[in-house]
Amino acid sequence: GFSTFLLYTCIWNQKQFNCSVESFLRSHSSCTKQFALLQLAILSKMTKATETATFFAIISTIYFIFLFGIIPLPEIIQQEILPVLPWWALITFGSYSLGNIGYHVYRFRDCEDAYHELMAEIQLAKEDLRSKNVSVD
Amino acid sequence: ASSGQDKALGATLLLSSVALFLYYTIWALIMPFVDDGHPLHEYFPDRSYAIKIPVVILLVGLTVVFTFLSLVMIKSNSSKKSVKKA
Repeated sequence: GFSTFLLYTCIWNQKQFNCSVESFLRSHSSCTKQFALLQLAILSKMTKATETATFFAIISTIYFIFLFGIIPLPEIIQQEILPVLPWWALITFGSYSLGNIGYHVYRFRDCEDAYHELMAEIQLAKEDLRSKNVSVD
Repeated sequence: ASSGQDKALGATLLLSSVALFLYYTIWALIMPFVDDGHPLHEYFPDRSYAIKIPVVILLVGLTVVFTFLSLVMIKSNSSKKSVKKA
């Protein structure tokens, strides 16, 4: 179901960046690894959302324990750094996102065939949805 | 291969993101340990801004996102109402 959708999304994303068959097959194995991990997480009844929420809960608990002085930190200078940490994390996340996009835009290799194939698929999907009375465009 | 314009844009984004990350990391995490007389302090503004600027950015970003969301929802609601009336 959902995990299969994610697997196909993963392969589709990597197909955009790897036009040759060999590199596509190499990236496909990493997708299967992610797929296996996701299946394991689902089997242990943990969705990606639950996983993310758990991660954030743990990180914020640790942070607030230090921030409120429940566990004292050595230097007074640490009391200058701790308030800044969440904002630093936000800036880091923003710059990582920007850099990731920039890197892939830089390295993107034009694939003429994939472009035409994708345009045709979009047309098919639009016509299919219109036939089912969904307003498209 | 991607066009020259695409490559330039990608490289600019990448380099500016690295520069932003390095500048902010040094400003927020390293400057507290630098002694007060050091010339490095001239390149960084007051550290209270290290919190104020991300707060402003976050607020502006959230405002833009939610405004866009609400506009889309209002538009889809009004088009649904016009379809029902018709």
